[in-house]
Amino acid sequence: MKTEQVVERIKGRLSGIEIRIPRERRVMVYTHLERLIEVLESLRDQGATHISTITVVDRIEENVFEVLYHLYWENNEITVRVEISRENPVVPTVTTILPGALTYEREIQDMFGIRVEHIPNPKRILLSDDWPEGVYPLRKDYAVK
Amino acid sequence: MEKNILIPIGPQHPGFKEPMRLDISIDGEKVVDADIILSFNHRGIEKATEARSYIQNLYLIERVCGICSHAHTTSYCHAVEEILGLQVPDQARYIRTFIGELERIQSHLLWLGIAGHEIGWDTLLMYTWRDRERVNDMLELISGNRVHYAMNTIGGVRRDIAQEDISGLKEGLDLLEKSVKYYIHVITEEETFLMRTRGVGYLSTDKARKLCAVGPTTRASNVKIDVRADDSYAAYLDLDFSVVTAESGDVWGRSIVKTGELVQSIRICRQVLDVLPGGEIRTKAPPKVPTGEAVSRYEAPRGELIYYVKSNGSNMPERVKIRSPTLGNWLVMAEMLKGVYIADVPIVVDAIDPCLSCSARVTMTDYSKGKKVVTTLGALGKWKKGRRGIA
Repeated sequence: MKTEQVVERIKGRLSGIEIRIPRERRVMVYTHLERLIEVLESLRDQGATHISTITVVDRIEENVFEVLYHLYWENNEITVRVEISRENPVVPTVTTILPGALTYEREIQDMFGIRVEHIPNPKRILLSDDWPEGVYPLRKDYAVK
Repeated sequence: MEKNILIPIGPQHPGFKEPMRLDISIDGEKVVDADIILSFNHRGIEKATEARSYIQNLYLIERVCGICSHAHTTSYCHAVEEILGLQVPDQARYIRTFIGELERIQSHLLWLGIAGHEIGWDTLLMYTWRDRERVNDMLELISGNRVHYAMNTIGGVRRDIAQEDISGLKEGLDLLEKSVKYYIHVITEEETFLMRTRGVGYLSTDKARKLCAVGPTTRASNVKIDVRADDSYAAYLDLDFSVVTAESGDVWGRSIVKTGELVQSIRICRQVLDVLPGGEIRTKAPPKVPTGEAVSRYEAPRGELIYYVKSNGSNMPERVKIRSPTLGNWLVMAEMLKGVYIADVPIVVDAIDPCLSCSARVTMTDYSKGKKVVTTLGALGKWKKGRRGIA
Protein backbone atom coordinates (compact mmCIF):
# COMPACT_ATOMS: atom_id res chain seq x y z
CA MET A 1 0.00 0.00 0.00
CA LYS A 2 1.21 3.48 -0.82
CA THR A 3 2.28 5.61 2.12
CA GLU A 4 -0.33 8.28 1.31
CA GLN A 5 -3.09 5.67 1.37
CA VAL A 6 -1.88 4.45 4.75
CA VAL A 7 -1.98 7.99 6.09
CA GLU A 8 -5.48 8.51 4.70
CA ARG A 9 -6.68 5.32 6.33
CA ILE A 10 -5.19 6.29 9.67
CA LYS A 11 -6.73 9.77 9.46
CA GLY A 12 -10.08 8.31 8.40
CA ARG A 13 -10.41 6.48 11.69
CA LEU A 14 -8.70 8.90 14.05
CA SER A 15 -9.32 12.59 14.27
CA GLY A 16 -6.88 15.20 15.55
CA ILE A 17 -3.78 13.05 15.07
CA GLU A 18 -0.57 14.63 13.86
CA ILE A 19 1.09 12.59 11.13
CA ARG A 20 4.40 13.22 9.40
CA ILE A 21 5.96 11.34 6.52
CA PRO A 22 9.75 11.62 6.72
CA ARG A 23 10.13 9.56 3.56
CA GLU A 24 8.39 6.93 1.45
CA ARG A 25 7.28 3.92 3.56
CA ARG A 26 7.88 5.73 6.87
CA VAL A 27 5.01 7.25 8.85
CA MET A 28 5.30 9.07 12.18
CA VAL A 29 2.13 9.27 14.24
CA TYR A 30 2.28 11.74 17.13
CA THR A 31 -0.22 11.19 19.90
CA HIS A 32 -0.72 11.53 23.64
CA LEU A 33 -0.56 8.89 26.32
CA GLU A 34 -4.35 9.04 26.86
CA ARG A 35 -4.96 8.18 23.22
CA LEU A 36 -2.19 5.57 22.81
CA ILE A 37 -4.43 2.54 23.29
CA GLU A 38 -7.10 4.00 21.01
CA VAL A 39 -4.55 4.68 18.25
CA LEU A 40 -2.93 1.25 18.49
CA GLU A 41 -6.32 -0.46 18.56
CA SER A 42 -7.41 1.39 15.48
CA LEU A 43 -4.20 0.47 13.67
CA ARG A 44 -4.47 -3.14 14.80
CA ASP A 45 -8.06 -3.38 13.57
CA GLN A 46 -6.95 -2.18 10.17
CA GLY A 47 -4.19 -4.79 9.99
CA ALA A 48 -1.09 -3.39 11.71
CA THR A 49 -0.55 -6.45 13.90
CA HIS A 50 3.24 -6.59 13.75
CA ILE A 51 5.22 -4.66 16.33
CA SER A 52 8.92 -4.51 15.52
CA THR A 53 10.14 -2.97 18.72
CA ILE A 54 9.69 -0.15 21.22
CA THR A 55 12.32 2.59 21.35
CA VAL A 56 12.69 5.06 24.19
CA VAL A 57 14.53 8.34 23.78
CA ASP A 58 15.57 10.12 26.95
CA ARG A 59 15.12 13.87 26.39
CA ILE A 60 16.54 14.85 29.73
CA GLU A 61 16.62 18.63 29.13
CA GLU A 62 12.88 18.65 28.50
CA ASN A 63 12.30 16.17 31.32
CA VAL A 64 10.48 13.69 29.07
CA PHE A 65 10.85 10.21 27.75
CA GLU A 66 9.65 9.74 24.24
CA VAL A 67 8.30 6.25 23.63
CA LEU A 68 8.18 5.03 20.04
CA TYR A 69 6.15 2.00 19.03
CA HIS A 70 7.44 0.73 15.71
CA LEU A 71 4.70 -1.09 13.83
CA TYR A 72 4.77 -2.65 10.44
CA TRP A 73 1.76 -2.44 8.20
CA GLU A 74 1.45 -3.17 4.48
CA ASN A 75 5.05 -2.36 3.52
CA ASN A 76 5.09 0.73 5.73
CA GLU A 77 6.85 1.33 9.00
CA ILE A 78 4.48 3.21 11.29
CA THR A 79 5.96 4.78 14.39
CA VAL A 80 3.46 5.76 17.05
CA ARG A 81 5.10 8.21 19.43
CA VAL A 82 4.07 9.45 22.85
CA GLU A 83 5.83 11.64 25.38
CA ILE A 84 5.73 10.77 29.05
CA SER A 85 6.94 12.56 32.13
CA ARG A 86 10.41 11.63 33.32
CA GLU A 87 9.32 12.10 36.96
CA ASN A 88 6.72 9.39 36.92
CA PRO A 89 7.29 7.31 33.81
CA VAL A 90 4.30 5.03 33.31
CA VAL A 91 2.81 3.59 30.14
CA PRO A 92 -0.06 1.12 29.84
CA THR A 93 0.74 -2.32 28.51
CA VAL A 94 -0.04 -2.74 24.83
CA THR A 95 0.18 -6.54 24.96
CA THR A 96 -3.62 -6.69 25.08
CA ILE A 97 -3.56 -5.24 21.55
CA LEU A 98 -0.23 -6.53 20.29
CA PRO A 99 0.87 -9.64 22.24
CA GLY A 100 4.27 -9.52 20.54
CA ALA A 101 5.14 -6.35 22.46
CA LEU A 102 5.88 -8.22 25.70
CA THR A 103 9.63 -8.64 25.12
CA TYR A 104 10.04 -4.97 24.32
CA GLU A 105 7.96 -3.78 27.25
CA ARG A 106 10.14 -5.83 29.56
CA GLU A 107 13.16 -4.30 27.86
CA ILE A 108 12.05 -0.68 28.45
CA GLN A 109 11.30 -1.50 32.08
CA ASP A 110 14.87 -2.73 32.50
CA MET A 111 16.66 -0.07 30.56
CA PHE A 112 14.70 3.08 31.34
CA GLY A 113 12.72 2.23 34.44
CA ILE A 114 9.47 2.97 32.68
CA ARG A 115 6.71 1.18 34.54
CA VAL A 116 4.44 -0.76 32.24
CA GLU A 117 1.05 -1.08 33.89
CA HIS A 118 -0.58 -4.53 33.88
CA ILE A 119 2.32 -6.15 32.02
CA PRO A 120 1.70 -9.93 31.96
CA ASN A 121 5.30 -10.83 32.84
CA PRO A 122 7.24 -8.07 34.62
CA LYS A 123 10.44 -10.06 35.16
CA ARG A 124 13.80 -8.73 34.05
CA ILE A 125 14.79 -9.68 30.57
CA LEU A 126 18.10 -8.11 29.61
CA LEU A 127 19.81 -6.92 32.77
CA SER A 128 21.45 -9.45 35.04
CA ASP A 129 19.98 -10.60 38.34
CA ASP A 130 22.64 -8.78 40.36
CA TRP A 131 22.11 -5.45 38.61
CA PRO A 132 21.14 -2.94 41.34
CA GLU A 133 17.50 -1.98 41.67
CA GLY A 134 16.55 1.47 40.47
CA VAL A 135 19.54 1.92 38.17
CA TYR A 136 18.58 2.31 34.56
CA PRO A 137 21.57 2.21 32.21
CA LEU A 138 20.11 3.76 29.09
CA ARG A 139 18.93 6.90 30.85
CA LYS A 140 21.06 9.90 29.97
CA ASP A 141 21.92 10.57 33.61
CA TYR A 142 23.56 7.17 33.89
CA ALA A 143 27.21 7.94 33.18
CA VAL A 144 29.43 5.46 31.41
CA LYS A 145 32.47 4.81 33.56
CA MET B 1 1.71 -28.60 38.09
CA GLU B 2 3.59 -29.78 41.18
CA LYS B 3 4.63 -32.92 39.41
CA ASN B 4 6.26 -31.01 36.56
CA ILE B 5 10.02 -31.05 36.52
CA LEU B 6 11.92 -27.89 35.70
CA ILE B 7 15.00 -28.24 33.50
CA PRO B 8 17.21 -25.18 33.30
CA ILE B 9 19.40 -25.11 30.18
CA GLY B 10 22.22 -22.59 30.27
CA PRO B 11 23.05 -19.79 31.01
CA GLN B 12 26.66 -20.52 30.15
CA HIS B 13 25.92 -22.63 27.19
CA PRO B 14 28.63 -22.82 24.55
CA GLY B 15 26.01 -23.31 21.91
CA PHE B 16 24.05 -20.15 22.46
CA LYS B 17 25.28 -17.09 20.68
CA GLU B 18 24.23 -15.08 23.65
CA PRO B 19 24.31 -16.64 27.09
CA MET B 20 20.73 -17.37 27.96
CA ARG B 21 18.82 -19.69 30.19
CA LEU B 22 15.93 -21.76 29.08
CA ASP B 23 13.75 -23.09 31.87
CA ILE B 24 11.61 -25.86 30.54
CA SER B 25 8.90 -27.49 32.63
CA ILE B 26 8.30 -31.06 31.65
CA ASP B 27 5.57 -33.54 32.26
CA GLY B 28 6.99 -36.96 31.54
CA GLU B 29 8.72 -36.64 28.19
CA LYS B 30 6.90 -33.53 27.05
CA VAL B 31 7.60 -29.88 27.51
CA VAL B 32 4.60 -28.10 28.99
CA ASP B 33 6.06 -24.65 29.39
CA ALA B 34 9.19 -22.74 28.59
CA ASP B 35 10.63 -19.55 29.99
CA ILE B 36 13.57 -17.74 28.51
CA ILE B 37 15.94 -15.61 30.56
CA LEU B 38 18.34 -13.48 28.56
CA SER B 39 19.86 -11.42 31.33
CA PHE B 40 23.42 -12.73 31.31
CA ASN B 41 25.40 -10.87 28.78
CA HIS B 42 24.13 -7.39 28.35
CA ARG B 43 27.10 -5.69 26.75
CA GLY B 44 25.72 -2.17 26.75
CA ILE B 45 26.40 -1.57 23.07
CA GLU B 46 23.46 0.83 22.69
CA LYS B 47 24.82 2.94 25.55
CA ALA B 48 28.37 2.71 24.19
CA THR B 49 27.30 4.09 20.82
CA GLU B 50 26.30 7.35 22.51
CA ALA B 51 29.91 7.95 23.55
CA ARG B 52 31.54 7.21 20.19
CA SER B 53 31.68 8.95 16.86
CA TYR B 54 29.61 7.72 13.92
CA ILE B 55 32.66 6.12 12.30
CA GLN B 56 33.85 4.46 15.52
CA ASN B 57 30.36 3.09 15.97
CA LEU B 58 30.61 1.24 12.68
CA TYR B 59 33.27 -1.03 14.16
CA LEU B 60 31.42 -1.42 17.43
CA ILE B 61 28.15 -2.25 15.70
CA GLU B 62 29.84 -4.75 13.42
CA ARG B 63 30.57 -6.69 16.59
CA VAL B 64 26.95 -6.95 17.70
CA CYS B 65 26.83 -10.25 15.84
CA GLY B 66 29.57 -12.51 14.58
CA ILE B 67 27.43 -14.08 11.91
CA CYS B 68 25.41 -11.24 10.48
CA SER B 69 27.91 -8.43 11.08
CA HIS B 70 27.27 -6.92 7.66
CA ALA B 71 23.53 -6.76 8.34
CA HIS B 72 24.09 -4.57 11.39
CA THR B 73 26.49 -2.13 9.76
CA THR B 74 24.38 -1.84 6.61
CA SER B 75 21.29 -1.10 8.64
CA TYR B 76 23.16 1.48 10.73
CA CYS B 77 24.69 3.11 7.63
CA HIS B 78 21.29 3.33 5.96
CA ALA B 79 19.90 5.17 8.97
CA VAL B 80 22.82 7.61 9.22
CA GLU B 81 22.83 8.18 5.45
CA GLU B 82 19.12 8.94 5.57
CA ILE B 83 19.68 11.62 8.20
CA LEU B 84 22.58 13.06 6.22
CA GLY B 85 20.61 12.89 2.99
CA LEU B 86 23.54 11.12 1.34
CA GLN B 87 23.12 9.43 -2.00
CA VAL B 88 25.05 6.16 -1.99
CA PRO B 89 26.70 5.31 -5.34
CA ASP B 90 25.13 2.46 -7.31
CA GLN B 91 28.27 0.36 -7.15
CA ALA B 92 28.18 0.53 -3.34
CA ARG B 93 24.51 -0.45 -3.24
CA TYR B 94 25.24 -3.52 -5.32
CA ILE B 95 28.32 -4.48 -3.31
CA ARG B 96 26.34 -4.15 -0.07
CA THR B 97 23.69 -6.43 -1.53
CA PHE B 98 26.27 -8.95 -2.69
CA ILE B 99 28.03 -9.16 0.69
CA GLY B 100 24.65 -9.30 2.43
CA GLU B 101 23.59 -12.27 0.34
CA LEU B 102 26.91 -14.10 0.78
CA GLU B 103 26.44 -13.54 4.49
CA ARG B 104 22.96 -15.03 4.29
CA ILE B 105 24.35 -18.06 2.46
CA GLN B 106 27.03 -18.72 5.08
CA SER B 107 24.54 -18.15 7.90
CA HIS B 108 21.94 -20.53 6.47
CA LEU B 109 24.60 -23.17 5.70
CA LEU B 110 25.87 -22.84 9.25
CA TRP B 111 22.33 -23.31 10.49
CA LEU B 112 21.67 -26.33 8.30
CA GLY B 113 24.81 -28.01 9.62
CA ILE B 114 23.86 -27.37 13.22
CA ALA B 115 20.32 -28.58 12.56
CA GLY B 116 21.83 -31.79 11.22
CA HIS B 117 24.05 -32.05 14.25
CA GLU B 118 21.15 -31.54 16.65
CA ILE B 119 19.32 -34.50 15.22
CA GLY B 120 22.46 -36.61 15.45
CA TRP B 121 23.42 -36.38 11.83
CA ASP B 122 26.93 -34.97 11.79
CA THR B 123 27.57 -35.86 8.16
CA LEU B 124 25.31 -32.98 7.16
CA LEU B 125 27.29 -30.68 9.46
CA MET B 126 30.56 -31.68 7.79
CA TYR B 127 29.13 -31.16 4.31
CA THR B 128 27.48 -27.80 4.91
CA TRP B 129 30.38 -26.38 6.88
CA ARG B 130 32.75 -27.41 4.09
CA ASP B 131 30.60 -25.35 1.73
CA ARG B 132 30.43 -22.53 4.22
CA GLU B 133 34.23 -22.37 4.01
CA ARG B 134 33.85 -21.62 0.33
CA VAL B 135 31.62 -18.67 1.14
CA ASN B 136 34.06 -17.45 3.76
CA ASP B 137 36.84 -17.69 1.18
CA MET B 138 34.76 -15.61 -1.22
CA LEU B 139 34.15 -13.01 1.47
CA GLU B 140 37.85 -13.01 2.26
CA LEU B 141 38.66 -12.49 -1.40
CA ILE B 142 36.54 -9.34 -1.50
CA SER B 143 37.01 -7.87 1.95
CA GLY B 144 40.15 -9.48 3.34
CA ASN B 145 38.17 -10.79 6.29
CA ARG B 146 36.15 -13.91 6.95
CA VAL B 147 33.83 -12.79 9.75
CA HIS B 148 33.84 -9.04 10.33
CA TYR B 149 34.13 -7.88 6.75
CA ALA B 150 34.36 -4.16 7.60
CA MET B 151 32.98 -3.42 4.15
CA ASN B 152 30.59 -0.65 5.07
CA THR B 153 31.30 2.94 5.74
CA ILE B 154 28.91 5.85 5.95
CA GLY B 155 28.24 6.83 2.35
CA GLY B 156 29.21 3.57 0.69
CA VAL B 157 31.64 0.70 0.98
CA ARG B 158 35.38 0.55 1.66
CA ARG B 159 36.45 -1.92 -1.01
CA ASP B 160 35.44 -2.56 -4.57
CA ILE B 161 34.94 -5.96 -6.18
CA ALA B 162 37.88 -6.35 -8.55
CA GLN B 163 37.09 -7.32 -12.14
CA GLU B 164 39.60 -10.18 -12.05
CA ASP B 165 37.84 -11.71 -9.02
CA ILE B 166 34.44 -11.94 -10.68
CA SER B 167 35.08 -15.20 -12.54
CA GLY B 168 36.33 -16.82 -9.32
CA LEU B 169 33.26 -15.64 -7.45
CA LYS B 170 31.00 -17.03 -10.17
CA GLU B 171 32.76 -20.39 -9.97
CA GLY B 172 32.24 -20.36 -6.23
CA LEU B 173 28.53 -19.68 -6.74
CA ASP B 174 28.28 -22.57 -9.23
CA LEU B 175 29.81 -24.96 -6.72
CA LEU B 176 27.49 -23.70 -4.00
CA GLU B 177 24.44 -24.09 -6.19
CA LYS B 178 25.34 -27.71 -6.88
CA SER B 179 25.67 -28.41 -3.16
CA VAL B 180 22.50 -26.53 -2.25
CA LYS B 181 20.50 -28.57 -4.78
CA TYR B 182 21.83 -31.69 -3.13
CA TYR B 183 20.84 -30.43 0.33
CA ILE B 184 17.35 -29.67 -0.87
CA HIS B 185 17.14 -33.19 -2.21
CA VAL B 186 18.42 -34.54 1.11
CA ILE B 187 16.06 -32.64 3.38
CA THR B 188 13.01 -33.43 1.29
CA GLU B 189 13.81 -37.12 0.77
CA GLU B 190 15.93 -38.35 3.66
CA GLU B 191 13.74 -40.33 6.03
CA THR B 192 15.84 -39.59 9.14
CA PHE B 193 15.57 -35.87 8.61
CA LEU B 194 11.86 -36.00 7.89
CA MET B 195 11.14 -38.10 10.97
CA ARG B 196 12.99 -35.74 13.27
CA THR B 197 11.65 -32.48 11.86
CA ARG B 198 8.14 -32.94 10.54
CA GLY B 199 5.46 -31.82 12.94
CA VAL B 200 8.14 -30.81 15.48
CA GLY B 201 8.03 -27.32 17.01
CA TYR B 202 4.79 -26.35 15.32
CA LEU B 203 3.91 -22.68 14.99
CA SER B 204 0.58 -21.74 13.45
CA THR B 205 0.21 -18.86 11.01
CA ASP B 206 -2.05 -17.12 13.49
CA LYS B 207 0.46 -17.38 16.36
CA ALA B 208 3.33 -16.31 14.12
CA ARG B 209 1.44 -13.15 13.20
CA LYS B 210 0.16 -12.48 16.68
CA LEU B 211 3.51 -12.89 18.43
CA CYS B 212 5.28 -10.94 15.69
CA ALA B 213 7.78 -13.59 14.62
CA VAL B 214 10.30 -12.54 11.99
CA GLY B 215 12.37 -14.00 9.18
CA PRO B 216 12.46 -17.63 8.07
CA THR B 217 10.62 -18.63 11.27
CA THR B 218 7.53 -16.69 10.31
CA ARG B 219 7.83 -17.44 6.59
CA ALA B 220 7.81 -21.16 7.42
CA SER B 221 4.40 -20.55 9.03
CA ASN B 222 3.18 -19.11 5.75
CA VAL B 223 3.44 -15.44 6.64
CA LYS B 224 4.91 -13.72 3.63
CA ILE B 225 7.00 -10.91 5.06
CA ASP B 226 10.50 -10.14 3.89
CA VAL B 227 12.01 -6.68 4.29
CA ARG B 228 13.98 -7.10 1.06
CA ALA B 229 10.73 -7.28 -0.88
CA ASP B 230 8.39 -5.18 1.29
CA ASP B 231 10.64 -2.32 2.33
CA SER B 232 13.34 -2.58 -0.28
CA TYR B 233 16.82 -1.21 0.40
CA ALA B 234 20.28 -1.33 -1.21
CA ALA B 235 19.85 -2.80 -4.71
CA TYR B 236 17.01 -5.26 -4.11
CA LEU B 237 14.49 -3.20 -6.05
CA ASP B 238 16.53 -3.73 -9.22
CA LEU B 239 17.00 -7.47 -8.70
CA ASP B 240 14.78 -10.43 -9.33
CA PHE B 241 14.12 -12.87 -6.49
CA SER B 242 11.18 -14.48 -4.77
CA VAL B 243 10.17 -14.71 -1.13
CA VAL B 244 10.23 -18.33 -0.01
CA THR B 245 7.47 -19.53 2.28
CA ALA B 246 6.30 -22.90 3.59
CA GLU B 247 2.98 -24.00 4.99
CA SER B 248 3.93 -26.70 7.46
CA GLY B 249 5.01 -24.33 10.28
CA ASP B 250 7.38 -26.93 11.77
CA VAL B 251 11.15 -27.39 11.87
CA TRP B 252 10.98 -29.07 8.48
CA GLY B 253 9.21 -26.04 7.03
CA ARG B 254 11.93 -23.79 8.43
CA SER B 255 14.54 -25.98 6.74
CA ILE B 256 12.68 -25.77 3.45
CA VAL B 257 12.48 -21.99 3.72
CA LYS B 258 16.17 -21.61 4.56
CA THR B 259 17.38 -23.90 1.80
CA GLY B 260 14.98 -22.18 -0.62
CA GLU B 261 16.51 -18.88 0.40
CA LEU B 262 19.97 -20.24 -0.36
CA VAL B 263 18.86 -20.74 -3.96
CA GLN B 264 17.43 -17.22 -4.07
CA SER B 265 20.58 -15.73 -2.54
CA ILE B 266 22.76 -17.43 -5.15
CA ARG B 267 20.41 -16.08 -7.81
CA ILE B 268 20.74 -12.54 -6.42
CA CYS B 269 24.55 -12.82 -6.19
CA ARG B 270 24.77 -13.90 -9.85
CA GLN B 271 22.60 -10.99 -10.95
CA VAL B 272 24.75 -8.55 -8.98
CA LEU B 273 27.95 -9.85 -10.58
CA ASP B 274 26.37 -9.54 -14.02
CA VAL B 275 25.13 -6.00 -13.63
CA LEU B 276 27.77 -4.39 -11.37
CA PRO B 277 27.60 -0.80 -12.62
CA GLY B 278 31.15 0.21 -11.65
CA GLY B 279 32.23 3.72 -10.72
CA GLU B 280 32.55 5.36 -7.33
CA ILE B 281 32.14 3.20 -4.24
CA ARG B 282 31.55 5.90 -1.65
CA THR B 283 30.26 9.40 -1.16
CA LYS B 284 32.23 11.39 1.34
CA ALA B 285 30.31 11.87 4.57
CA PRO B 286 30.86 14.75 6.99
CA PRO B 287 31.91 13.72 10.53
CA LYS B 288 29.06 15.71 12.11
CA VAL B 289 25.49 14.67 11.48
CA PRO B 290 22.72 17.30 11.60
CA THR B 291 19.82 16.87 14.00
CA GLY B 292 17.41 14.26 12.77
CA GLU B 293 16.26 10.69 13.08
CA ALA B 294 15.74 7.62 10.92
CA VAL B 295 14.31 4.16 11.18
CA SER B 296 16.09 1.56 9.10
CA ARG B 297 14.91 -1.98 8.47
CA TYR B 298 17.00 -4.81 7.04
CA GLU B 299 16.34 -8.46 6.32
CA ALA B 300 19.15 -10.17 8.23
CA PRO B 301 19.59 -13.94 7.79
CA ARG B 302 17.39 -14.48 10.86
CA GLY B 303 14.78 -11.91 9.94
CA GLU B 304 13.85 -8.29 10.36
CA LEU B 305 16.58 -6.18 11.90
CA ILE B 306 15.58 -2.68 12.93
CA TYR B 307 17.72 0.34 13.77
CA TYR B 308 16.54 3.67 15.08
CA VAL B 309 19.17 6.41 15.01
CA LYS B 310 18.67 9.89 16.44
CA SER B 311 21.31 12.54 15.93
CA ASN B 312 21.89 15.79 17.80
CA GLY B 313 24.13 17.75 15.45
CA SER B 314 27.40 16.52 16.95
CA ASN B 315 29.69 13.76 15.72
CA MET B 316 28.15 11.29 18.17
CA PRO B 317 24.62 9.91 17.99
CA GLU B 318 22.02 10.85 20.60
CA ARG B 319 20.48 7.39 20.54
CA VAL B 320 20.98 4.17 18.62
CA LYS B 321 18.34 1.53 19.14
CA ILE B 322 19.00 -1.97 17.86
CA ARG B 323 16.44 -4.76 17.69
CA SER B 324 18.05 -7.92 16.42
CA PRO B 325 15.84 -10.55 14.79
CA THR B 326 16.50 -13.19 17.43
CA LEU B 327 14.88 -11.00 20.10
CA GLY B 328 11.78 -10.83 17.92
CA ASN B 329 11.61 -14.61 17.90
CA TRP B 330 11.87 -15.35 21.64
CA LEU B 331 8.15 -15.24 22.24
CA VAL B 332 7.38 -17.72 19.49
CA MET B 333 10.20 -19.98 20.60
CA ALA B 334 8.49 -20.50 23.94
CA GLU B 335 5.32 -21.24 21.99
CA MET B 336 7.04 -23.75 19.69
CA LEU B 337 8.58 -25.62 22.61
CA LYS B 338 5.23 -26.41 24.19
CA GLY B 339 4.33 -30.02 23.56
CA VAL B 340 7.63 -31.21 22.11
CA TYR B 341 9.72 -34.09 23.47
CA ILE B 342 12.74 -33.22 25.59
CA ALA B 343 15.09 -34.61 22.96
CA ASP B 344 13.52 -32.32 20.38
CA VAL B 345 14.25 -29.21 22.46
CA PRO B 346 17.69 -28.67 20.84
CA ILE B 347 16.34 -28.80 17.30
CA VAL B 348 13.34 -26.60 18.10
CA VAL B 349 15.50 -24.00 19.83
CA ASP B 350 17.94 -24.24 16.98
CA ALA B 351 15.22 -23.81 14.38
CA ILE B 352 14.96 -20.09 15.09
CA ASP B 353 18.74 -20.14 14.67
CA PRO B 354 20.24 -19.15 17.98
CA CYS B 355 22.60 -22.04 17.44
CA LEU B 356 22.93 -24.78 20.03
CA SER B 357 26.19 -26.65 19.81
CA CYS B 358 27.39 -30.11 20.67
CA SER B 359 29.26 -29.40 23.87
CA ALA B 360 26.09 -28.15 25.52
CA ARG B 361 25.55 -28.89 29.18
CA VAL B 362 22.20 -29.33 30.78
CA THR B 363 21.43 -29.32 34.47
CA MET B 364 18.40 -31.37 35.31
CA THR B 365 16.60 -30.76 38.54
CA ASP B 366 14.43 -33.53 39.82
CA TYR B 367 12.07 -31.64 42.07
CA SER B 368 10.67 -34.70 43.79
CA LYS B 369 14.17 -35.68 44.97
CA GLY B 370 15.59 -32.16 45.09
CA LYS B 371 18.66 -33.39 43.24
CA LYS B 372 20.63 -31.76 40.45
CA VAL B 373 22.20 -33.84 37.72
CA VAL B 374 24.51 -32.38 35.10
CA THR B 375 24.44 -34.03 31.72
CA THR B 376 25.12 -33.15 28.10
CA LEU B 377 22.44 -32.40 25.55
CA GLY B 378 23.77 -35.27 23.44
CA ALA B 379 23.30 -37.69 26.32
CA LEU B 380 19.82 -36.28 26.85
CA GLY B 381 18.96 -37.04 23.26
CA LYS B 382 20.22 -40.61 23.53
CA TRP B 383 18.40 -41.07 26.81
CA LYS B 384 15.09 -40.29 25.19
CA LYS B 385 15.79 -42.26 22.03
CA GLY B 386 16.63 -45.30 24.15
CA ARG B 387 13.37 -44.95 26.02
CA ARG B 388 11.42 -44.73 22.81
CA GLY B 389 13.24 -47.77 21.48
CA ILE B 390 14.74 -45.94 18.48
CA ALA B 391 18.42 -46.11 19.40
